[in-house]
Amino acid sequence: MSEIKRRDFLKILGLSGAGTGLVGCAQEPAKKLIPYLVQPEEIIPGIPNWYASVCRECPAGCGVHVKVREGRPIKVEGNPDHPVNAGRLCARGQASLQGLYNPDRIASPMRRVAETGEFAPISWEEAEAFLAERIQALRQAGRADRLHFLTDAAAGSSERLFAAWMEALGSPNRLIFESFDLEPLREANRLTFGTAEIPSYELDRADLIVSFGAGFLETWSSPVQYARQFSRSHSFGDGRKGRFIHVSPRRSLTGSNADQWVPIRPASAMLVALAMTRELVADGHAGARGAAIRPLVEPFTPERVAEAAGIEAETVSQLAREFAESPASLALPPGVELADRNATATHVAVNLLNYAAGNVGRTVRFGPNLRRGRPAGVERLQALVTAMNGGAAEIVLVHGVDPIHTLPSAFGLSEALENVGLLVSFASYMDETAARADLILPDHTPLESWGDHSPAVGVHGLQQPTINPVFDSKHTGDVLLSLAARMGGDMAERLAWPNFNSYLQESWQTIHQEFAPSQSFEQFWRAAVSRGGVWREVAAQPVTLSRAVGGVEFDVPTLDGDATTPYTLITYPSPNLYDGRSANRPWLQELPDPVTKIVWNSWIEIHPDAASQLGVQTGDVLTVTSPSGRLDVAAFVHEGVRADTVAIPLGQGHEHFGRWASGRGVNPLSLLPVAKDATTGSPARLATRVALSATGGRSRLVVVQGSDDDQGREIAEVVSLAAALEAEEHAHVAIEREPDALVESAQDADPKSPYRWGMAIDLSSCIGCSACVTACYAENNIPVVGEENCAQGREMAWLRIESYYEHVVEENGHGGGHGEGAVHDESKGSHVVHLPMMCQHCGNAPCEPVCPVYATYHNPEGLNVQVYNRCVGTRYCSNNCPYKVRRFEWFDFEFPYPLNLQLNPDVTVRQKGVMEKCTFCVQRIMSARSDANARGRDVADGEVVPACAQTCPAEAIVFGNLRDSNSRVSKLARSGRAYHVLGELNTRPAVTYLKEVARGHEEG
Amino acid sequence: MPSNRRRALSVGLTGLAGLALIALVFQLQRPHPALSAALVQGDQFSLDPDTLVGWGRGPVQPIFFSHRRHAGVYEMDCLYCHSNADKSAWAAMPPVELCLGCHRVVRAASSEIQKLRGYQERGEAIPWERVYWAYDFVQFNHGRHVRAEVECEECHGKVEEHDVIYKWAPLTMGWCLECHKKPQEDEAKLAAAARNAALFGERGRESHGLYPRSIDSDYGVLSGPIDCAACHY
Repeated sequence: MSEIKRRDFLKILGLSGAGTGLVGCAQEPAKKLIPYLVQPEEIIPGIPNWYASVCRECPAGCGVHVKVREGRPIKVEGNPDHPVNAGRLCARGQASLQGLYNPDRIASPMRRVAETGEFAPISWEEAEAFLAERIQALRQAGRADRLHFLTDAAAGSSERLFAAWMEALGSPNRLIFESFDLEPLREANRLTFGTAEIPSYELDRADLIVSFGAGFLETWSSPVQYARQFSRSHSFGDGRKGRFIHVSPRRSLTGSNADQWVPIRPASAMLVALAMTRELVADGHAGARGAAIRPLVEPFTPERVAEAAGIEAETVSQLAREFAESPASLALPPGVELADRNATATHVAVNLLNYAAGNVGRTVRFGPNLRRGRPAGVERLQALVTAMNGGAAEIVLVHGVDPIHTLPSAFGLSEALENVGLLVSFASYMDETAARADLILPDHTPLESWGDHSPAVGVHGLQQPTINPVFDSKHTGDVLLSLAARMGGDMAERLAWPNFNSYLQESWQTIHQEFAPSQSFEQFWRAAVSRGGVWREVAAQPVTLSRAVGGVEFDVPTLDGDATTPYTLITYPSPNLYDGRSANRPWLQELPDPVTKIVWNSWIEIHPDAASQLGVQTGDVLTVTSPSGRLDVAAFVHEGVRADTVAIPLGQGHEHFGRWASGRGVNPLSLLPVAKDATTGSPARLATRVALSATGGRSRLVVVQGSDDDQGREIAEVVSLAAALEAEEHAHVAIEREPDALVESAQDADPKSPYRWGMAIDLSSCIGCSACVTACYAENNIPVVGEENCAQGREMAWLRIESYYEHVVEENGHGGGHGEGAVHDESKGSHVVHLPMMCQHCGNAPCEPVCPVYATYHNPEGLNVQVYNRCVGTRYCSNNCPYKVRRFEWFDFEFPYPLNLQLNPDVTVRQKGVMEKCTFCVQRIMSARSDANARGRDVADGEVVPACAQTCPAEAIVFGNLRDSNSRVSKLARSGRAYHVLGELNTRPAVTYLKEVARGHEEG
Repeated sequence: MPSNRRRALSVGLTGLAGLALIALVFQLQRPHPALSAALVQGDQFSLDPDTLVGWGRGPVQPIFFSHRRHAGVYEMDCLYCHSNADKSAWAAMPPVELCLGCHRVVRAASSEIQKLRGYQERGEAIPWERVYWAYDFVQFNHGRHVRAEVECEECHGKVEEHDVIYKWAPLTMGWCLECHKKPQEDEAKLAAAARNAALFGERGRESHGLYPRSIDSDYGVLSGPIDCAACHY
């Protein structure tokens, strides 16, 4: 368009008054309509496309469905067909979108300019030519082994390509590195059962789970899978409920779901497991199996062990008795955070316990084993550091890992990198290692790339791109193939694939032969891509006790430190940030830690007794000193750790990595020594003791939950198993008598409406993992407000998890009783109840009558609706809401490019000055109703699934129509355990909670 | 000399252009001279520049596209180009490929079609000026309206008579509600309602007018809901 025409146009626009700029005070909409040049056949603008892929946020390998609108992924949900996660996803999986759209991604290849020391963008052509030349020079000089390649532990085609590439190059120095490895477990299984595999733990079949600390509901191994299984067996249903005993020095998120917490001394899990085994064998519960292991466990009497573990001998006996008498028990090992210098022996002890109780083959099944890469041990890592320092590492390539942040600084890797000739990083973000690199070749994020991952035997997940690359990044597989081509000769011949996708397809030929030899490969491939992979049932294989177990030394592991360092340090993976790889995702930074409810920071957990000895309170800064290092961090005082133990989460303490992560919190790895498991050489994290001293300073810790005590207001309720059974009995009689009766709150909609939307949340299922919270952020365009605003109570979460420390109440079965309860919990803290709290969509809503402009009102389908364009921001509604679930937009919060591409087009992006809150995902209700309407029928039960219920790994949230007496939600709302939070206010909520059930040790 | 003449010529032309602009100011209904020239050139239908309907009331588009020609003269169905208006919340614009489906042959020499081809060859999207839009807090669903047999012209006017598309309806909430509240008399809509009602009746639930005086397509009766949350969320 020429200049004069545009000017004319502007004049015409101005004169005719047709300019749209004059209208109202709201934001200007986009003024162009951009059509496709060639519209892809499968895309209809306005209707989402779903692509199956694999979540790569941790090694668990959950299957995902990615919702794509007009070419932009806007939501990630679990793949319902996938055997690992069955449609569910954790908070980190939900936040993978913020990895894709992270504004701090490296936008193009970069090379460090020697003169300035700064990075400067270069083209891919230049970058690859440069690197190929350097590698070629090394090869021609016969020093190919001076190239080292560090990668993550994914099991799949890229893994095989890395291996093939290094082999073709002639360098043996490929190192697999993973922050949290399961090598001690693998080795223990080799020693105990002669098979170096990670078995499938069948939590859903277990009636009693005794865990020695594994965070299986948060970070250990395959958390979404375990959460689903755990909730199947542990939640109350069909008149039974599994029991879970957490035997560990720290009550983690996983531990907070236990019916009993036994706080043993750190590094004593091995002894407790052995003593339990001994009791089992001595009482004859192990039958014939007992004879073989008796000599091994004989010396570990409960009395001897009790002293070392810091608990009563009777407790050990009780644990052993319960374990033996349970119809289906399962013992789980300590998690990665409790891996000590004798981790393998500890895992062997747990194996023996499972073996003695006859669990192997029942709740511990070999055959459908988990598959993980085999990470290098401490020695290989030390050898790498030595090689670097000796100048023997001329080129180091790093892919998918950030060793500077995730290795204890005592390794000296950071200093050693100074001596590396050329450090090349394939990172997508400027992590600590990339920031030190000479050349950065940014990889695609998983949502942009082809790939595969096999998390278990018989399960092959297939990953496909869901968007065109957002930045000028390139798949590392493609880079390696291109480098090989550039180097020519042997290298090019052995790696002759044109791109990674063709390599991937070729490596799937074997899977094709295994799964569908009768189909053509093309058919098989298309089906696999659209399903997100292929999988099959794998039969269990029997194992027998190996003789090697006789040689295991059950030495008590040592901890660094002496009399001056009285506290044992636990450094555990953060449920939100994992090892720190998720630290630059604002959703996860603002997601309250499930145990402490702290946002945006690091802390040290300390027992009240220890705190009073030191004279500190929550927020006082402590100097933590270990023989290996020291740091300052704010104290968080609570009863979730032993008095002789302190705990600091991993994940924070980045110097680089991006605007939300850098300069935030501390990295406790600076306190750890170079320590390893005696048998496998895997890094030991439970390795040191520390001294604490108050600095006198204060640091602001933003704890978003005001109190963990509901002050007897019956907000969170927990009953004993007996009381729950009785209440269910009464309810059952009532339902038999009037099968079609509706709950009272079903009335709170227009008499003619077929719907009254409602929700039921089973607190005995909810594990507090907070996946729902992040899913809600993703679905509903909820802004992130930052630490400062959180401190002022301005966080915007529509849904939050409240955790209360409750006592178990015996009831008379009719509900409402509030007498002295039988507390079955022997530990000092009591029962933890996680309670998801969102707008209750009250039938008699206190917020509605106080709104002067009718911006909030009750709609004909029973929803409590907030009309943004009507709201003038008086905030009266929020003041009048007893649940405190309404959120006010204090500012226009930003979604810096390209984060704005994630916004859900079906939900309004709110502006400054309006009130907002949970809508029950009204956009999903509208869409389901529109679909049902087009088919001339009502919405069927299960057709509307809000984002929180969709992702809940524990299947705790059920949504539906309260006016349909056959809907799941109606049935749950009539349960004997049903209650309304603050129901005495006569708010008539649409959200019904089902009481948490605690099972004591005498109940079964 | 020639330079002087050129200068004189350019001054004259500038003057003429100025006059044309003034003429524009006073005669907004008349098309832009350059535009009408482009239209007349090679146009076997020879549109009369004075009778372009809608001229000046809507924005000048990057390509002069006449709905009168396509929907009026040739009676093309709206859904031929806006093919998702009945399926999706968004009616959407036809892809360039669809235009060229006919225009590779039909009037391929015309200057406007050349422009179209230019966009296609450059791989560039046509930046159509947006005429109808709603604020972000309005969730308008085309598909539901089309399926409820609301005619396109009820909101967009008789586009088959318009050469230039302009905002025919005010698109204010009051205007939306006028229709949502109106008892329906239109035969086609009543028939659609009857079909819906019959479907509902089969399942033993009576149709009901959920909202006073309104006919609600959601609940088996007619017209649109007046519940705020139907559009605002």
